[in-house]
Amino acid sequence: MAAEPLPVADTSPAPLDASQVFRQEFRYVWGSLRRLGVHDADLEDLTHEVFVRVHAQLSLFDPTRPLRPWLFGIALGVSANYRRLARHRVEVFKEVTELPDGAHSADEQVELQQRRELVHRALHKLPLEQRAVLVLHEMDGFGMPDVALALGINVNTAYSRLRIGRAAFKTAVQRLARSLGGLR
Amino acid sequence: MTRARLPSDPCELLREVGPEPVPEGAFEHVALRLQGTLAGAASAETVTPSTPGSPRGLSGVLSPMVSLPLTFAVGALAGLVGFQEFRDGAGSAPSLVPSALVSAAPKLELPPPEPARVTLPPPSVPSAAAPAITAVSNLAQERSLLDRARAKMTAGEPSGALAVLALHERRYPRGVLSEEREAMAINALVSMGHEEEARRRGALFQARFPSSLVRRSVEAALANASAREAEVTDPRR
Repeated sequence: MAAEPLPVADTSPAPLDASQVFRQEFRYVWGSLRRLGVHDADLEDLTHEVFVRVHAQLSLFDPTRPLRPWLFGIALGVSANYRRLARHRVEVFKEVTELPDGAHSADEQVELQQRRELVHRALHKLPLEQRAVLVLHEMDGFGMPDVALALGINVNTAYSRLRIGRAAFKTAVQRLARSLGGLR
Repeated sequence: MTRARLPSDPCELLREVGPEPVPEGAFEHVALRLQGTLAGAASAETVTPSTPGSPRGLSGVLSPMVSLPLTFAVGALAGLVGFQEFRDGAGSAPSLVPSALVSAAPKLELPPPEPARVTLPPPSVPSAAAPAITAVSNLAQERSLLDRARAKMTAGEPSGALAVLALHERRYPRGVLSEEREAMAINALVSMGHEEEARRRGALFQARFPSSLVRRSVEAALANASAREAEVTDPRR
């Protein structure tokens, strides 16, 4: 009697669950929107909007690809629309006061806060398309093919934006550091 | 102000600063908003108005989305039972009462206050007492229409899909899913051989949704239309 064939393990990625995405990636989406220049006062609205779109487009997501670049692409679309609507508003970053987290000394924390603020201000000097590449590649650590796919551009364009964005970021940091007088 | 040296390559700063801080309560606030959405779904096309602190000019666009009925919200809120994972994996008791998920007037039990990590202006929370306004759109109904249209497309009935999409456009001209509707309509037009109309609508799509993630689907459909036209013009190809 022939042995029953063993069931073949399903190695295909499990379909995404919207609630799980929300729970696990809320912080990432929030932070991405902030890095894309969304004001603190608008982050709740826009984070909500991103997850509405995530739900609507979840069936389009290729589960063999990393999730975060895809989420970032949605956040980018939402923030681009936001910038068009909010273009008349003065964009000012408030310094976010973080309370001691236990992992850093008070001095270290102040310095981290200053650096983060500097990064935000410098990123803000860049066009959104360069900023998006810098954030995804330099801050989130994604490879350029994933960055290009997430942003709907070809890899050469992504590299070009990375190169120009890095140069612009350096210039912005140096100028801001001089004018702020803290970091140097 | 502390004086610290910048790294020799300022781009190193991008890798040094770590994740963005999330203000205390932000996760819960967004979740509550979704829960408000869910409650709003039961009271026939009502939404909670945008938050009082919301910027002028933005609220008009966002308010329809703020409290749309979301099947997603059900799942999201169900997931909130375990949202301690989000809060640094504290592993303490669930902070939301599951029964609140299905209550028409949900009542949440929030976790005991913890020391705040970040000080930000307090995010506004839509309260149950907030006056409801008529919804401009309804995501559940929008989605249902798009699902019908997608089923028609899958069944090889692009004209039927287009009719459903036209209905969506009449009901929700500025709906949350306008972007998805337009992309599908362009695909349907190409399938029906209406290349010119597809291209016209495609140009409007590009102008209206330049950063769209479904742009590639639109571009592929339009490329097919162009190839087909070229074949008609030059049958030797």
